[in-house]
Amino acid sequence: MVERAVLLDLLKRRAEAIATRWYDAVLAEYPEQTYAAWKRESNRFANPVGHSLRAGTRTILDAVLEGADAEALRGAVTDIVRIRAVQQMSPSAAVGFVFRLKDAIRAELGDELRNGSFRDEMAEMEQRVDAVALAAFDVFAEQRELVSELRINELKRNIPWATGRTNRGVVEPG
Amino acid sequence: MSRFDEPDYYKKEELVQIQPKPPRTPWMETPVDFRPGTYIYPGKAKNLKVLDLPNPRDWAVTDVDWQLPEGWQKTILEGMADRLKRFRSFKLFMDICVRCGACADKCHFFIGSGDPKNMPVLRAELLRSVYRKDFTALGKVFGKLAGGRELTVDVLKEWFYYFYQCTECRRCSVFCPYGIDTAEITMMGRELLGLLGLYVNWVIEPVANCFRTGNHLGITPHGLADTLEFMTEDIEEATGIKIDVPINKKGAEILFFTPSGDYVAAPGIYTCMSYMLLFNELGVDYTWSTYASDGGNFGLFTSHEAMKRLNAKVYAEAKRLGVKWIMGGECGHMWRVVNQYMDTMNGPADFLEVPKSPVTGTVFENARSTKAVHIMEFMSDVIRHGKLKLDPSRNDHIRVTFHDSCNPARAMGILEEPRYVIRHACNHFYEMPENTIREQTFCCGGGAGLGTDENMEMRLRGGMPRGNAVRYVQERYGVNQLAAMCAIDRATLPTVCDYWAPGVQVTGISELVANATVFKGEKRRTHNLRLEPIPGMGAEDEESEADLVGAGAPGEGQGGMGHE
Amino acid sequence: MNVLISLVVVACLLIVGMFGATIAPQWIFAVALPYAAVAVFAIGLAVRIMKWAGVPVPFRIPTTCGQQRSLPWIRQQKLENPSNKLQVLGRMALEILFFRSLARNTRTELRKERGLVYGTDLFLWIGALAMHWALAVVLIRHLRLFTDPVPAFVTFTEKADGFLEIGLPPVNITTVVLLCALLYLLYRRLANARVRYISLPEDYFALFLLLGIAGSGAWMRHISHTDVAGVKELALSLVHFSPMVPTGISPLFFGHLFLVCVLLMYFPLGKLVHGPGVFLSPTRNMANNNRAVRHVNPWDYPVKVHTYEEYEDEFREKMIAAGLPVDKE
Repeated sequence: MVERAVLLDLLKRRAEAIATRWYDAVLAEYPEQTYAAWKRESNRFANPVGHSLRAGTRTILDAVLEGADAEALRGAVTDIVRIRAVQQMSPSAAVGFVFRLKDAIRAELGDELRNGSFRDEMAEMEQRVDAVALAAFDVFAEQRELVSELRINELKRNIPWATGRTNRGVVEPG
Repeated sequence: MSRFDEPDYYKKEELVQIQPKPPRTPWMETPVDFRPGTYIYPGKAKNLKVLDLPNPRDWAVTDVDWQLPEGWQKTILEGMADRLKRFRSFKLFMDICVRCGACADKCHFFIGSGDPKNMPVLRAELLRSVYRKDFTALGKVFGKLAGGRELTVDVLKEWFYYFYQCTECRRCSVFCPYGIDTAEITMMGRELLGLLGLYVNWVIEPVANCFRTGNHLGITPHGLADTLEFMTEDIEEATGIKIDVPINKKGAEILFFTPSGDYVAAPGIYTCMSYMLLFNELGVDYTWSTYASDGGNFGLFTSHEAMKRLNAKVYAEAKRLGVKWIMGGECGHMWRVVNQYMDTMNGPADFLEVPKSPVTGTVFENARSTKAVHIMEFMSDVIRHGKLKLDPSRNDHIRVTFHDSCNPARAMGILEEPRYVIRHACNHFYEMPENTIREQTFCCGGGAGLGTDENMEMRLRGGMPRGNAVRYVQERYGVNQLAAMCAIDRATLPTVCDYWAPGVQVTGISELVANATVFKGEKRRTHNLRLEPIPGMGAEDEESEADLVGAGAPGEGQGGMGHE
Repeated sequence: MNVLISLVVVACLLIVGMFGATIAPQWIFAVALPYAAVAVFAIGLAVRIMKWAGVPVPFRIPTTCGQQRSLPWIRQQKLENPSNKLQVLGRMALEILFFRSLARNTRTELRKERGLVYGTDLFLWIGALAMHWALAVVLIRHLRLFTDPVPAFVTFTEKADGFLEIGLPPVNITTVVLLCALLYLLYRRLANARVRYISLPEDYFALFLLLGIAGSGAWMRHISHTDVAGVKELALSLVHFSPMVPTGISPLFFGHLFLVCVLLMYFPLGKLVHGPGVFLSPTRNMANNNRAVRHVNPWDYPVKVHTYEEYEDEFREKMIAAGLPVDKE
């Protein structure tokens, strides 16, 4: 019990560093020149993706550390997954960024973890990360469904008028 | 080696140095990845035939063999040589880029997708590399070392992918120290592709339709008459006013034309209704035309020649009907054509008169030669003279922001007129952040013929910067409507908003004006033109919650976007 | 790789210049080459510009960056969206003298952590502006070598430039600025992944060439102290078309001169022509007045259109049925 609190404290103290590592790792999945652009430009309107990744990773990390419930986790991952759902990447890559958080924690706490302490606590922490990944998968699927729905909606916006005209028998084929 | 679940596995030192993925290959050697959702289907043979375009055939983008005609390299290179002799812009823009990178992060497609070839400079280099190889001394001698590149099928596929991934929005051109305009490059690239019969159907079918029926959607004359008639029924239901629809009326004072998107799809139809209502109220003697029933011109997205072929109808019809001048509705690329091409291509319009507002007597000096006035120029003048009785409180449930459309902003500069009109029609108007409006406005992601559902993912990437700015004002000011004076915006921004800023609806500016206008002889206005109840006008009891009000409360954003 | 090639090429050129002059007859490097270079530069540039100017501008396509001229009570942004030639002149002046469009990149922003932050691309603007202006002043200073008596503005420029009075001869500010700006531009090209990705060998070549010229020039002035009188003698003799090569000029000077010759000859061929090119850019040098004044396309040709008659022929019956007026009953 004591150990657990200690690990959590440790993580909270180093949250900023962990978040930065994680953010860097997520950005690094993009081509180098994109990485440079997104990392450099801090204006949230000139660089919305970079901004969302930066803010989003931090939000998720905080949620993980607080042991947030499923609903809160969903909310936290939505921003990032919404972006990745329409970018040129496979579904696994789109949600896989979550697992980079484990790497980030281990990298940041490498010295403390190396001597084998916190093994159980770390396992629990990683379970929480897994929960985030599942939430991300949910959101991803939801966003993909939304994209399909948007396709249909665009057509639907034409339909009342098309139907109206058909009913009055004036539509010409072709 | 330690196992992955052992702490040693994660060597701190290694992980400290996270390096971004190095580019697998230099850009010249990276082939395109045609993934569904990122490209548009090819032009159908039947449409190419209507327009007598070369190499009509049915093919698919994912085909290995694109069935290119014999000697296609020669065709392209000759086409390039020809255009280099005809367009100084093209010649100059091929020569003077110094690759400073100022444009790189200005493209909405690059911002949203992160694909390096969406940097405007690289988009142009796709053409420039071929130009260097075959048209410059350095390139001929030093080849690849001088940035030259052989024209191959892969290069051609790359052109097709990336020139139909540019909305010709000209944002990069604003930041370029030499004014290099990627729209110009893309237009040339598309013209060259067209020489081989490589078109996208979402552009070429509208062009074929427009050529035959006068509008992109292929609405026949009687169909259009009926559509407009149908709208008057909705108008009467909302306002109690019965209006006439003048069509092909000889001797009218003004020929009015607008993009055909406004005839069929919500929310454009409400803008169209508003035109008619407002003209009726102001007693404007105008006429619609079925022959020139589209102000939009997808020819602009095809070739200069196609643009001219479609645009010719406007002056021809103005002459046939004997009108005095022309007024154009809320459209984006249509105004690029009217402002920068129409007079040169199909003028001089010496059979028309210098436009003079029949309502206020104002002479539109800036349209002295083309004789075509933008409806926002006309409306702002009308409002300035107090000729419309406006009650902006009828729009009090709307918190509106304004999206400058690319072409009106960067190929015309009509920035203040729409804002003036909106401020008089609405009490709650909020600007989006400075670097996302006016000349720096972000495209909707669907301009220049990209607004189809086939490339939805690409559009959503491109629409991301705009959507992000909308979401910001939504969170900050509770904005629930986005006004835009462009038909493509009205068709594509609802989708962009639904994805990136759910809860924000899209409207035309005229619609805001019509909803705020106190018409002579109107009935008690309980419903707006969408036939939704207007809050505060006594209709809430009947139908409880209109969609419009749903997003009224400024929701705190999730995921840390709302804290600034 | 691109960087290395360019660096090696420029280094070789410098060496060729320095030692070529000692091995080969001096008149080749001191006389023939400068004349040839100036000729190539002048003719090449003229040809290049004439080629551009010879291509018509079929359409008026300015990029508008501000409010248009429309109704009298709406304030036009004349320099961002000019509607007549004078305003265009103003816009071009801003563009050419102050790189207006590059400066647009600046965005000041209030941020929680760090207070007021400027967009980093302001550096590009500063770097580019510093490089070009310093280069201009350096060129003016060099007029001293080609004129006798030296015009007042040259002397003045030089005085002003060296007002810090550090060292002997005094260090000119522009020398330092030019070198720093070039180094920054090079650094930016190398360090920024985005810019590195789009860079061609030529981009590095131009930078190394300028660095070589500026570096060797500064070296001669401050470190090896070349025989300035001799150089001036040579320069004047070249200007008066009675070339004669004084003895005792250091090899480094010939290296410097050779790089300048290469620059002159390369200038009209490569990307450096952006200088003259910007004057001709249709998106910047045209007024946005196409609706007020008709622009004529010199190569306009008739196109196949779908006439109203053809249209009515296809739809006449239906138009009549719908109560629409027709031309032919």
